[in-house]
Amino acid sequence: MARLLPRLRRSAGIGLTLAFLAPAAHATNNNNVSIPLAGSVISSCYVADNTNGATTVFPDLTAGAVNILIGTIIEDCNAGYLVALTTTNNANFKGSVSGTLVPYTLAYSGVPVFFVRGFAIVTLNFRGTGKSGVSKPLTISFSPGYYVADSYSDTVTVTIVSK
Amino acid sequence: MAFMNRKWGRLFFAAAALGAASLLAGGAQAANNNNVSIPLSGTVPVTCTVANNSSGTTTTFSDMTQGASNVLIGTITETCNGRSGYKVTLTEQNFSANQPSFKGSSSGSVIPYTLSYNGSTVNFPNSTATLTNSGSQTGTNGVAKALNLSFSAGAYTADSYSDTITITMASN
Repeated sequence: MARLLPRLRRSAGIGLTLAFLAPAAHATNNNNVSIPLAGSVISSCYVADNTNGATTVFPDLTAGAVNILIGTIIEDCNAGYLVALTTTNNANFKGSVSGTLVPYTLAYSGVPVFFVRGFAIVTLNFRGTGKSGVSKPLTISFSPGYYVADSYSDTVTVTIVSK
Repeated sequence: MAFMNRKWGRLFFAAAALGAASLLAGGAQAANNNNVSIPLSGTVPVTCTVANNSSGTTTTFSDMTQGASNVLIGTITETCNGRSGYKVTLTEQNFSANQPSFKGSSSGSVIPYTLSYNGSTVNFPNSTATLTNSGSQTGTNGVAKALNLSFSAGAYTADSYSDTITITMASN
């Protein structure tokens, strides 16, 4: 009996060893590693004006104007975006000396622009544009009329904001 | 998915509102903002006119010996968009003895008369009188003023008499 116990212990030890080896050998044949990858594309959005900021001049405002092209805006964005218009004088020409206002209207891509507190959203896009962007005309109209003699000006700002 | 779209839409509108607020505040400083400016300019030239609703027709007095009192000879419409105002003057052809006058074609005799413009007597320091001296522009439709003529009855030399009044406007 005294000699049997050590044998049993050795046998048990072997058995235990086999028991551990068996799953170990199984793991070796089904090994895998995970290699996480991550990347991002930063939203890149811009608007461009093909007239390059040239001033559109009306030599006689009293004659009025109908749908005069003042710029062709290219919207280019790889994410959802909005395009907004603001003007310095809330869609009015303003006389430099008299301060007199001559109201005008704008159409963006053929759609009338409605300003609320000097601000108008003209494009709301949830997907982004294609690679070449989207080209849209911006036109101005104002009525002929009797206006105070003066030099008038305004500035329209087109802004793109990505999501 | 539809929920996500709605959620994204709400977020986007919120972003739009924020963007709008930023723009209104003169911000537009976010990295993904970009803008272009489109300058506009225009000119309104000075345009001043006088018009006579009688269109230059001759006012004829068939018997000047009977005189005339405040006979309307024209209604002058002054229109000027010059912000510094304008001046309207009247020049009379046969100014004589410090008075405007009819002049006989054969005799050269004169019959003095007086004028009133918009109800006020016209004063002639010489053959040119100032009718209006305004420091501002008129409204769209201008200002209409009556020009009336008076002369005394009297024993005048038989003849054909005439005179011509010229009204001129100039911006200040």
